[in-house]
Amino acid sequence: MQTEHTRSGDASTRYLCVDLGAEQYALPLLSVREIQAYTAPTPLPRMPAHVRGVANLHGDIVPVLDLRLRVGMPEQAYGRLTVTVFVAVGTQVAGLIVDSASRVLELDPAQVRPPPTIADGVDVSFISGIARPAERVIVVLDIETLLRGDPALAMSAAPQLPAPAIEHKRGS
Amino acid sequence: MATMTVRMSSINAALLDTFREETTDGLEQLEAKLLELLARPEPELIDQLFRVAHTIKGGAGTFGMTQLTRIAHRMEGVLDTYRQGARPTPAAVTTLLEGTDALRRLLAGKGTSDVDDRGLEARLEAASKGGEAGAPAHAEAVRTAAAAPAPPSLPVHTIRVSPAPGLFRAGADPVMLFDQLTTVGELVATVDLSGVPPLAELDPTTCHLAWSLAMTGGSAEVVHALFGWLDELCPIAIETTGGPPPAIAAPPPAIAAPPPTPGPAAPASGPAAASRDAAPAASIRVRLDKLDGLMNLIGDLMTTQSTLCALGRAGAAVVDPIRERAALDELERLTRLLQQSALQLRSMPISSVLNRFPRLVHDLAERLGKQIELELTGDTIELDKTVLERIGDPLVHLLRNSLDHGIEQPDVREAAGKPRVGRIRVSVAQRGDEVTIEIADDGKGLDTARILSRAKERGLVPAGRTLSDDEIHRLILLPGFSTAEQVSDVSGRGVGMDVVVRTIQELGGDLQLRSVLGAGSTMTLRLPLTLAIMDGQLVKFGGRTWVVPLAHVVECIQYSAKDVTVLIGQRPMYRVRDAVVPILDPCERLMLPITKTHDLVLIVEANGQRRALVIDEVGARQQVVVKSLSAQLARVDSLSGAVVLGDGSLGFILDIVSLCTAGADRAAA
Repeated sequence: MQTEHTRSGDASTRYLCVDLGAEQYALPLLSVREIQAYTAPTPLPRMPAHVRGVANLHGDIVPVLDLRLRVGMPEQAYGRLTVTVFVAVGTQVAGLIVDSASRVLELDPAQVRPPPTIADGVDVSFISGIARPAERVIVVLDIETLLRGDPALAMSAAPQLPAPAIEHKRGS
Repeated sequence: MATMTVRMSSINAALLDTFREETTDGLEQLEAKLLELLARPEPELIDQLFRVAHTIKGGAGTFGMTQLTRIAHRMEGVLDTYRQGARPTPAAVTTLLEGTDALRRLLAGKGTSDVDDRGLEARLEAASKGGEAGAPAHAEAVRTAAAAPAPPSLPVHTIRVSPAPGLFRAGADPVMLFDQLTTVGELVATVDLSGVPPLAELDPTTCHLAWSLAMTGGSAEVVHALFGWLDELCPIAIETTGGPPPAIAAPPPAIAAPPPTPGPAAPASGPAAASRDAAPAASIRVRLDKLDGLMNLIGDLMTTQSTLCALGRAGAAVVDPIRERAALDELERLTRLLQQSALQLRSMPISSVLNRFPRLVHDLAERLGKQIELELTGDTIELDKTVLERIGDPLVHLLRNSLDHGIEQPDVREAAGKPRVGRIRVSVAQRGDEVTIEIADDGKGLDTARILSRAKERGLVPAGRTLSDDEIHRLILLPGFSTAEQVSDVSGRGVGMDVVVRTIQELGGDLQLRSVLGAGSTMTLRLPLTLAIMDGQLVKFGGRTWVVPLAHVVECIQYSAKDVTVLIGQRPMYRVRDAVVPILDPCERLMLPITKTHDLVLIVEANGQRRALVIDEVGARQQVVVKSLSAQLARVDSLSGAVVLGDGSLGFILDIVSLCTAGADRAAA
């Protein structure tokens, strides 16, 4: 895994870059708890397809989701580079299975543009923005919306937390 | 040795928490003993009551909870008349019980309350005047304190505090009182050390100190109110002037006073108010012997660990397999004991819940015009704190039902040839890692005919079905059976029987009903000792290992196709000796691939409903540590938790209660 250690900037502008197929997604580094090489979680009966099961994360039983299926991409077999990224929002912890995690990068908030209102085949509701550093296109994920919008997680039933200031509103 | 200036800090929040806990205990004692008082007005009991009231008054005074102090003081006054030989009357005892309620309310409200207690105070006062003894001398000062409005200008009070030598031995800390004064006005305190003897002669339990306080603002009455409860232990003299504050109050002439260094005046009520508003952290009081037991075990564990270390260090040449085996066995034993010990730390005696029962029975019996004798047994049995916290309301509801609907009026009882006084027996017993709580009354019992007609009215019984008496009794537990339960001023909360049943089920227990018309009813609650650890039966189906709570397992038998009965339009049933049990295929229910032909049938039971679970293999019975699934996941159907299995993989605990009841709903529909 290659990392880009840029200036010791504000942690809130740093992101973990993960790959889903040819696309790159950025997860706010502050919400990332841990990255583990993929091991199959214990499947839970009667769960939606994207909930791959649960894992024992240091004594807590946490759900593990396939991020491809969660964002509406086609399923793909897990390989050597597949990792589970454990993210947390408040008390909700979840593992996200991604094709690979490539690096940590810093994104200037000014670089992050509001997402398009319609994207082909992909649910845009949990995209907080699109960044284009150095000719690449990186989709910045809104982890809170992603987890809260998942009816399988405890968080979906939890009362709404005061929303943090978000740079761009969808459709603005 | 000279004077030194003490800067006041905010009141210690931890001390306040301790006071709250101790006073809560004190109030429980007070209530229990008051209920005994009428039957047994013995000097010893009266003394105990007086002491408890006095302690509460003292503590409340220390923390400046004036209203609490006032009521406790009045109660003490009434009790004092009994010490002097007056006889307690039922009316006075009821007033005293109201006093305990008011104290409890004030304690919960951190010393304040929206309720006007003046009527109560007047009645307490009247009760104490009923006896020969008048109120103690400082009562007047305390009374005026509450009513006195703060003067508009800022007067300066010079307060000379000259405590008696025995002050500390009485458990009083004047500095805390000073702290309290900082919430009233700006305070500069000067300590007079002139009375302190040389170190060799110093008795640290004797108070050699005196103080001079210069307080700006507030009123002399408040000071009297704060110090009044100490009586002659801590006499004070107050001089009030309207002029600018003197830098320090005149110190005794014998010592040279350095200039005082009053810091910038902090907003008087700031820190103290903040610390009182903080929510008390969840805590638990642990008996010392439990901690000692734990310490002993840890000592043993360290010994065993060093034994094992020594064995390991000795090298392969001198391995002593017998000693190694012995040390490993010891390690296993200690680990098990440590686990038990840790669980015990979380446990509290069930008396903390049952203590409110005598009062409840006393009040409700009076209101309903019934005569009831309550018998409590086994109240020293301990349960996990989390279980205890949730079981209180359901238990009160069940007891209230017995009182209200079970026990008849005295005349009715007499006519039926029963003693006029009804009996309710609450007995707690421990069986293995389960606790049973039984509430039995000798009242009129459940009227099956009436229950059935009411249930039919409400459409709870499908037409054309005949029910056994037991099944009819269970109808009262269904949601929608009882009419909208009114909020009662006795239980405080209107919960229906279905809520009671649900709470018990959520705690992993169940409720059984037994009733004989005319002879009484018995409700039996079974609860696990703890929610954290469970005895589980490992089973295999769908190619994976699952855990069934042992409490729900009836038996395990060999599957035989000839015992399966399928009737048209009905679910398949499995014959077990002379009964038939609905078959439940867990693979089908959990939508798992069926990997193997079923070999075994596990009979499980919850709430009187049995199911035949068809499984592939049965494994070990073992204690498992229950891990929550609901912390991170929304509704997880049919599973109640997860466990880490011996090989480190995860297994799930089957929610037998929902598996059994879900089927029943379908059957009834």
